[in-house]
Amino acid sequence: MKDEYDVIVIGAGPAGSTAAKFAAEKADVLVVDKHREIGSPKRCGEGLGLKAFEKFEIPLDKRFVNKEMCGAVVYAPNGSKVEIEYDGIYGYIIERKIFDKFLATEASRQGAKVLADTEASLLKENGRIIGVRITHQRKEKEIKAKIIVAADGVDSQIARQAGIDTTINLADIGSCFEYEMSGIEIENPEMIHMFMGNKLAPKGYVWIFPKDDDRANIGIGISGTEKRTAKYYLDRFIKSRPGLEKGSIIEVNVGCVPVGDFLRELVRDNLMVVGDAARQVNPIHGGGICEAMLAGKLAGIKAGKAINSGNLEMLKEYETEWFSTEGKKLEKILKVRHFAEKLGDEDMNYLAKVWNGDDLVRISGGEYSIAFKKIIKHPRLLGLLKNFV
Amino acid sequence: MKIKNCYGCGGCVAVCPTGAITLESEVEIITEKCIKCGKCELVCPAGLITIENER
Repeated sequence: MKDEYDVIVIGAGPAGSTAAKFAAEKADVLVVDKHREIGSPKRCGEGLGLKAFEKFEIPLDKRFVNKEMCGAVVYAPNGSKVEIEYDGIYGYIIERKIFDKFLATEASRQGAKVLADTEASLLKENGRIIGVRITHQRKEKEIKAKIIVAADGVDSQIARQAGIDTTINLADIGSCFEYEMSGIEIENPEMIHMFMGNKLAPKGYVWIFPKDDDRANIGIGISGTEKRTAKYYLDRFIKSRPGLEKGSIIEVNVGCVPVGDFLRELVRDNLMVVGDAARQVNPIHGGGICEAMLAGKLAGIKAGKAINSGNLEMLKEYETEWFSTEGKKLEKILKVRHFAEKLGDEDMNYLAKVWNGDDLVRISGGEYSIAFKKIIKHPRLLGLLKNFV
Repeated sequence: MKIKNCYGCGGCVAVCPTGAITLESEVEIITEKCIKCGKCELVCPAGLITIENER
């Protein structure tokens, strides 16, 4: 390891490793991750849409592709279903622990140096960020860098140390608990299953993402403001379904997902914030792998160009370009979340009657006009829409 | 205060308004900075945090 790099990335999740890969095309890059094993523990349901595989040319490697998803079934509180069906494959349930290592390996193949088991904090001189102080296997070291990328997750300390207020409102966080279960009965394991309802999962949902015909990630995300815990609601859900209850728990995952609002300040001086640390998550379903990779790519390219040209002012372009592309799309989806948060169980039951799978797909992508036209005859929902626009 | 058996998800750190929580192998709440707002208690997915009210 050297004493100085052009770019240091903190956190080797999808955002960090992707940023490192693209920055390494033009710059000397170090990636550190505090965990002893990159990708573990995961905080994820592990669903990844086909779009991400195509955009980033991710190979369908059996080592991290568990099972294809052919669509989704969304269950209203009264049990009625809305099915989202695709002609082909919609995406895959991946194995994050292997996938994240694959992305880190890709970064290293591009020339980045990756270091697990490494805690990092910002190194400043006269208020200016000049690098990081790392602790790798109990040894401390100061490493200088021209650019820092904070990809250290929902509880980002690096962005905080740079002076960016990263505190998240309770209402804007999804509190999540998940079991990977085996020996369970899954009705239609080719599909992912999402269960809605305020009694079942307040301001969130329960998911069953099959990794095999009899094995799945079964998880829940609820509002951070809820008095009862995510674990309480998930345990209750599983207990109420004998086909799940009889199964075995082979992994427990706990996480918090920033679903309610985005970090607005993505760049300060020579520091950029990406991924969960920047709350770049789809506010409707809480997925963030593809968003993190898109942000990582954009930030990584800007970092490489800034190093090449010697003009660090360019980093600000990451923020403006993000909010005029993917960030803009996420803003629209956030509006849909704010609408959805106000729905009662009866409203959801009604929506399951008038909306079809295509409507749900469009809405989760932020295109709501067609779906919303279908509910203007419902006085209460129309009222909610008035607040919306 | 230290929380044992913490899963390390970082939710409490993310919602703490005063930066009073650090996360290493287990959660540690630095009492001087803690204002007992209870947000960490609410957000913890496993319900491992209990703020004792001494007021």
